[in-house]
Amino acid sequence: MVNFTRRRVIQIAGGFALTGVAGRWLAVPEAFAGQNGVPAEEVDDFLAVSRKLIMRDELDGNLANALVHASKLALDSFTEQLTRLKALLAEQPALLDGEQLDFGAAFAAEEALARNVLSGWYTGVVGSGDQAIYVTHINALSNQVVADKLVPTSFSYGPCGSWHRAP
Amino acid sequence: MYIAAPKVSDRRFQREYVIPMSNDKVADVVVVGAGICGSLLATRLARAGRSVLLLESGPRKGRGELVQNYRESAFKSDYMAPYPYSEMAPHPRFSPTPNDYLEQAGPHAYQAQYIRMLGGTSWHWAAQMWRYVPNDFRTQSLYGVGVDWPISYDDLEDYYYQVEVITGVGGEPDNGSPRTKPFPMERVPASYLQQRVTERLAPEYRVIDDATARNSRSYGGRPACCGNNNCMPICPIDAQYHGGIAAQEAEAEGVEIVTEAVVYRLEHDIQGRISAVHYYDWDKVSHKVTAQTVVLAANAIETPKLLLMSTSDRFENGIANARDNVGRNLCDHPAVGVSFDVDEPVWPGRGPVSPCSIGDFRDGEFRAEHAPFRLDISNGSKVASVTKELLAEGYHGRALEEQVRFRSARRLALKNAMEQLPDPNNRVTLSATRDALGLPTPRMYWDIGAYERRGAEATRAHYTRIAEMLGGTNVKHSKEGAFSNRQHITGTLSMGNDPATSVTDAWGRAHDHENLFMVGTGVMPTVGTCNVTLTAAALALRTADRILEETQHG
Amino acid sequence: MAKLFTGLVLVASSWLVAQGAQAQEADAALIQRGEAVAIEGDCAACHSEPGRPAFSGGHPIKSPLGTIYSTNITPSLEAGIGHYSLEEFSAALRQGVRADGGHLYPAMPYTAYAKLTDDDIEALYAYFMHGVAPADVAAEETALPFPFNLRFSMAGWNLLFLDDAPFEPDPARSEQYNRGAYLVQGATHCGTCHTPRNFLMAERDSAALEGASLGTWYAPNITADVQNGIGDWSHAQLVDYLRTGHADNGATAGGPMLEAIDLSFSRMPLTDLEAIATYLLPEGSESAAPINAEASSPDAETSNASAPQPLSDDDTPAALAAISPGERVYRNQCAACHAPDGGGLNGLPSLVGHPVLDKPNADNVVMAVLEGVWPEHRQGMLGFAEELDDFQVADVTNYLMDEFGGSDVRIDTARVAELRAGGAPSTLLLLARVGMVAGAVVVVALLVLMFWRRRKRLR
Repeated sequence: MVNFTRRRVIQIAGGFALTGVAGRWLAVPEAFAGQNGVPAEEVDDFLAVSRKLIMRDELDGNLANALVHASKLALDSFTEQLTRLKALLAEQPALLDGEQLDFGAAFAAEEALARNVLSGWYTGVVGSGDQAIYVTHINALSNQVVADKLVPTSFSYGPCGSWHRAP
Repeated sequence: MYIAAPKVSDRRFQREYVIPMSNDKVADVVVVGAGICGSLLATRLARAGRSVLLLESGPRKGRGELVQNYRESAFKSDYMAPYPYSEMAPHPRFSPTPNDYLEQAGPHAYQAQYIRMLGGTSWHWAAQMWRYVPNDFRTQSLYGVGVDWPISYDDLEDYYYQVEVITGVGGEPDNGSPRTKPFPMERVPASYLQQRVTERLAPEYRVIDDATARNSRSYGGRPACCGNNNCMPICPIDAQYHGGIAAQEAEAEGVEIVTEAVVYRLEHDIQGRISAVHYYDWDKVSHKVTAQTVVLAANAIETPKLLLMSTSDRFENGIANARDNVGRNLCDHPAVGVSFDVDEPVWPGRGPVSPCSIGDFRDGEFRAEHAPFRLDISNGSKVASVTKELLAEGYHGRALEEQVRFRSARRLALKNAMEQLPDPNNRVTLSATRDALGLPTPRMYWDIGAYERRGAEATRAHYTRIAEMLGGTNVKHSKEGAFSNRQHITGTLSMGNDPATSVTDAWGRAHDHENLFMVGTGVMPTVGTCNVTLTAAALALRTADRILEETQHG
Repeated sequence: MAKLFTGLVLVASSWLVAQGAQAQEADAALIQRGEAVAIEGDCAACHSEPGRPAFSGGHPIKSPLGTIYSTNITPSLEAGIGHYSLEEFSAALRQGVRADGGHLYPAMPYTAYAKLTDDDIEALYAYFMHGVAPADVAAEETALPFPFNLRFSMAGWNLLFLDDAPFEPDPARSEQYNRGAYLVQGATHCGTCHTPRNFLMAERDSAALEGASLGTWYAPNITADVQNGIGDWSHAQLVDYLRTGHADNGATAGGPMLEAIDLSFSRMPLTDLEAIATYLLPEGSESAAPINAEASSPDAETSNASAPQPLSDDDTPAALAAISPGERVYRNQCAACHAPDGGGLNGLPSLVGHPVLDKPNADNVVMAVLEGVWPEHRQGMLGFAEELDDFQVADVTNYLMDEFGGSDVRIDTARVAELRAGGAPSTLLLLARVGMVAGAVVVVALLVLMFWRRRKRLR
């Protein structure tokens, strides 16, 4: 259990570095030094796919950039999958007619990416476990869509007792 | 108001500028563990003029850094994630992947979440400061179950109040625990959710304000709650009391605090008195502390671990363990929960996370048959959890957005604080694994008996009824047969009059070691139906007074 | 005999009670008026200490010369001022001279109270003799270092700096203006903090109300000067500020001013606050907007926030990697309530363009960061003296000045350390000791001269 192998330690350290959990002990932002280097066309593809999945035209380009950067680090063959997902949604727009995603066994990989894209926007985190990367807290869509009622956790609702009245 | 104190918390500063001290230290009292109990006790001893050394195995970190770690974490639902972790003083860790620090040997995993850091585990808590009900101290006499305490509610009443004043506790006065003085803090105004639930469940159920150390006005140099809805894992504005504040107060009172000091052995003399405490710093340099009195306050898992590690020819099973009671009788609140969507928007997430509960089932003749319990109603934001749920269900587009709003507005979650009877088989022992300093890690054995299972059944019946009364849909009970623990770790250092069945006496003193005391939740022989911090802290002050009395001429 | 005696005592005591009742009735109005003057004068700020009987003193006042303890001003005969006559009371208030002839330190603002009218003095006297409960607890003795322990040295100071002529209204001005002037110069003693002092600690009349450091907190310029003072405040804003500690120009009171608001201004009649505004902002007095007590009450402040304001911020890792140390502190410690963009949150104050950032120094920002802000009744702000070191305090202060205040004013860690320690040590002590030595040299020289002349004459 606590007997960590060297590989495991490196993995954990990597996880820290990527997630920012490690705070000041490790240089968190280094993994993001290249964020500005995300190719514009990739971000455009990501935005195009995201607009369809989220059904919103106005999406934050800066956040899209950060999500793409994180996705490339956290998700296997993200770029290729994104291209395929984009193509699939262009060819078969009816796949998004239902309320819940169900692309069928043939397009399981595309559906998995679609879920990851939605998850990134809505939770502000890309990937899971060792691969999980924080991208945003305040601008996670889950927080944005309830912003008229709630404040993102750790920010103040208001002076003491302001929550007494009906939301 | 704060009085400015020199800031020496920066480790780099300490390393570079503080002259290294001799390996040996001497104090009147050495306290092992700078959580809320150890710190409150240390403060009281120092105030009475004793020299006190407070050893903490973990590091010193500021609130701001924890807030940053939380906000920038990929694991916001994991309350341990924002807290510093070191191989030198490991604690249970769950993200990114579990470290399995606690080896699980029993039928139920005992996943304790405790923090090894200056201030201890009450850095992440909902500031619940409940008194036991008087009958909790005599369950064997009254109901033929559990054990009687060596002390009564009346012995603790004044100490309860003292802690309530230090920490600023407010709540519903009529909560089953009689008081001679009013709460020192006015209650925090009820959220809209609490008001609606209270109205709709009355009179069948009585929803009351929890007793919490949460400011509703400026108190103790800390502001009133601003509803950050982040009591767990970290209040960003110190509106609730916690062990970090207690440690700060100890330091201001003249207690010498050494962090990153991992105590690994208690040494005894020929009379069985503890003659020295040995600790490693994080560079594994060993240091020795001698003191007239030794107090262990290192939590109900780490303290038994230390006792079990401290073996000698004379005490081959460890200190205070001549009759094999150390680490046994582990109790917690084996919890079952429910969640459902109320038929009206109530918007959990406004105000503190855990403001109210139902206390109707804490005591009664039924305790002879099944476990008593309290029902906690959550006001924590459900946005993150319902979003994950909806994403897993494959929602997308407008439906996803609508459902996030719909469920976030209506999701109500309850869980119980159910008394678990002491059972010697439920216990902490040492595993075969060694940590980075070469010290053994804890092994847990935890089982749930028929008494608690019957209590869980009774709880579920109420859950069903409550969901019905609130027009609940999407009702989900926690998995049948599964119990989570609630970090209310008790029993492992049980106090009692009979050395054959207890570890400590009525003052928290080890039966076989005159100058060794223990404080913290471990000395509590039963777990009751409420969060355990207030009782443990009250006992710690009582132990402090006892030490002062006994060492007056020393 | 015993019966007769008892009877006499009964008669006598009932007579006394009747007399007392009559006197009380007659004085009730006077006592009540005296209480109002005591509120205007904020006597409680210094003479009442939490945990002790009201007005029994013992409140430590940290002066650059050492700690001065306020005295017991209850009508206690042994510990208070119960034995004071009206004249002695007046002399203490207006000349700084105690009943025993000893001099008060000007920590007691007698230079301002000197402006009080005889009527107000009488009312105040009635209040302290009959409206306050006697408390027989002696306050701590004040022990200042030499030469300030020589209270008679204050006599010379008074000669130089005390103008004890009561207030004279200006007939050319409105009654409201004169009322304001009377309050500001007299009872509310604004100049005590807001007027800079000369090297002997006397207020410089030429610079009245132009702002001064109290060692830690800075009492800003409150003249009607638009650039440096509060000339850009409306009447309504000033009145709101004095009444609640808040104004809709973003101002929020802290430190000693907040205490003065909690204990004094907020308890004064609205008409008096309007009078103060008229005096301090004379140009705007005609056009000032009518004061709406409802709209800006503290309750209204919270109920405005019916729906939360959405937060806006770039908190992506790349953005966070690029922030300054000051912004890092801001985000970790301040943003929870003031929002990442400084705009405030749902009734919690905005820092963008906050008047505290528009001062000639950043002392008050540092003081608020170190000590917090603690209104008596409303939401308080945590202090960070324990949490942040001098570098972090300087960093976050400079971030606030720059980012939200648009100010070029900066603070360095040395000044933060000084403020944390309670202010810069006074040079007055040094000057005074050097001065005493110089004085002694002059005296010796004079004596020598006299001796020499005498001998010359004798010859």
